[in-house]
Amino acid sequence: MLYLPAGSPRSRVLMVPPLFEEKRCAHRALTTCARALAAAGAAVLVPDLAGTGNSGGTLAEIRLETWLEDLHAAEAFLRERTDVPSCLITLRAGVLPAVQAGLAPERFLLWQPVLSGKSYLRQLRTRRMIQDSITGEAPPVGPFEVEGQELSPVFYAELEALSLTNAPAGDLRLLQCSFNTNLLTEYTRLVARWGEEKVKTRCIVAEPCWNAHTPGRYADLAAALVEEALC
Amino acid sequence: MLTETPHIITIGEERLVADLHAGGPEGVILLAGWGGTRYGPQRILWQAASALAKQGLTTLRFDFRGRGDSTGDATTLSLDGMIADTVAAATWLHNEHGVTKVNLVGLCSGGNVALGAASQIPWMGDLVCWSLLPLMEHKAQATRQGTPRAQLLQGYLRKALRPETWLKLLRGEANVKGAMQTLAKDKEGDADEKRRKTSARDILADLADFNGNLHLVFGSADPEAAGSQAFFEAWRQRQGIPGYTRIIPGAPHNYYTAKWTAEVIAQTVEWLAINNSQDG
Repeated sequence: MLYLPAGSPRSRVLMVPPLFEEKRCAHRALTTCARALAAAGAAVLVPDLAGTGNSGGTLAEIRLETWLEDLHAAEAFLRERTDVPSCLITLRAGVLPAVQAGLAPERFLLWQPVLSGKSYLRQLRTRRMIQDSITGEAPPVGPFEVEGQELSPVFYAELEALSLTNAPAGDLRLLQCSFNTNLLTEYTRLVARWGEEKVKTRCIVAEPCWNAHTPGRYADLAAALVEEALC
Repeated sequence: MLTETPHIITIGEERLVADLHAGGPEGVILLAGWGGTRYGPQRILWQAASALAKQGLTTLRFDFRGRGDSTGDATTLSLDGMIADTVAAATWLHNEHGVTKVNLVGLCSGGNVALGAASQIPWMGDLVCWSLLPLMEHKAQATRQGTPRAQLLQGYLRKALRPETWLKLLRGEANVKGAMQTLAKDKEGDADEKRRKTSARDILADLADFNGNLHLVFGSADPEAAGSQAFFEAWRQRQGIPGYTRIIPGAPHNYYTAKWTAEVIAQTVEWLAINNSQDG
């Protein structure tokens, strides 16, 4: 989806959604934030990568390379329309392919980033199995199935291999949404590794929209995102 | 192959974002649940559209007002608003794309929307409801007809007594909250949300003249399935509405494995596309 401001854009924003069910849960929050960014003067593109959301294809048919091409195509699409300073916003595991794609935005806002593909995939699969063992019998789940979607073995391995190790280039911001304003331990370590001068952090008290059962208004969240992305 | 084009359907001041696959004169609208997007959990609605398109049907997926990419306030969405959106989408399909018969497939609350819209669409075909919930006004009755909560509680207690469960609890790995929410059965939200989930119309009474099929799919592990199944099967029989019920063994409300998802979709295709083409 492309969101354009009323006048000439002062910034272009590529917003990479989370993966799997977190994408679906966060969809409305991203829409609200994209509209707020457009109202503040940004041209915003929120792509559905191949095999996700409303895009064609399935995760069984693609490889990581497909997503990287999608991200470059999305960036090129935005740049062709407006060559103004760019901001890359990634939510949750969206950061992993975005960093791998090597995009070079002026500003990079990492919103509650997932740091490791391997631990993330394991966490998603384990969470389901534990839930099933408490509330019902464990269902048959394929070895490369993640939250109801089959991945090819190659693609699964490629996602597992992704991690946020080196600091990406650009003006780095890390936005954390949690039930308090204490930076999570994993992010404290990340900032220490990258250097405190390299990344600016902000913690806001907000429910994790990537786990939302029913969407809300997200006005405060959108305001914080506009500040971090454009100011 | 599913070849979708994006469209905007206007209803009043709201703009509904939709994806259309232009097929034959028979169409299917896929309806998300209360909080959902037009692709659905594990993309079940996208996958169903893909499977139905292969059978030559026109398919339409759209975001309700206040959901997904559509305009509107997320916190004021109501069942009647969702029904109005669906009727607008069906009218748009008919007027703009020549669809002469429209079937509705709804997941969870999307099934309630399908029931509510069916009496308002002149070119209505069949209904397929996945994990259909009882309408708010029938909840108490459906719960009495379903699996007693004591039985569910007994099942959870049995699991709670297993050593491995305690190990998980000690490690902080068990989803106690989820189990408690299932037991509390208050997934309908607060008083305001319950009011918005209640139609101003008598939806079932308005279906007196409905002459399509009503097909139901439930997961056997969905705590609300037994009550809802009993209620709607009895109602369907009283009304003389034809249709089948399919239970997916072990599946919960959202059919969240690839296998269960495929089963739900294959059954839906059989009901809507294969059986209908044989009839025709």
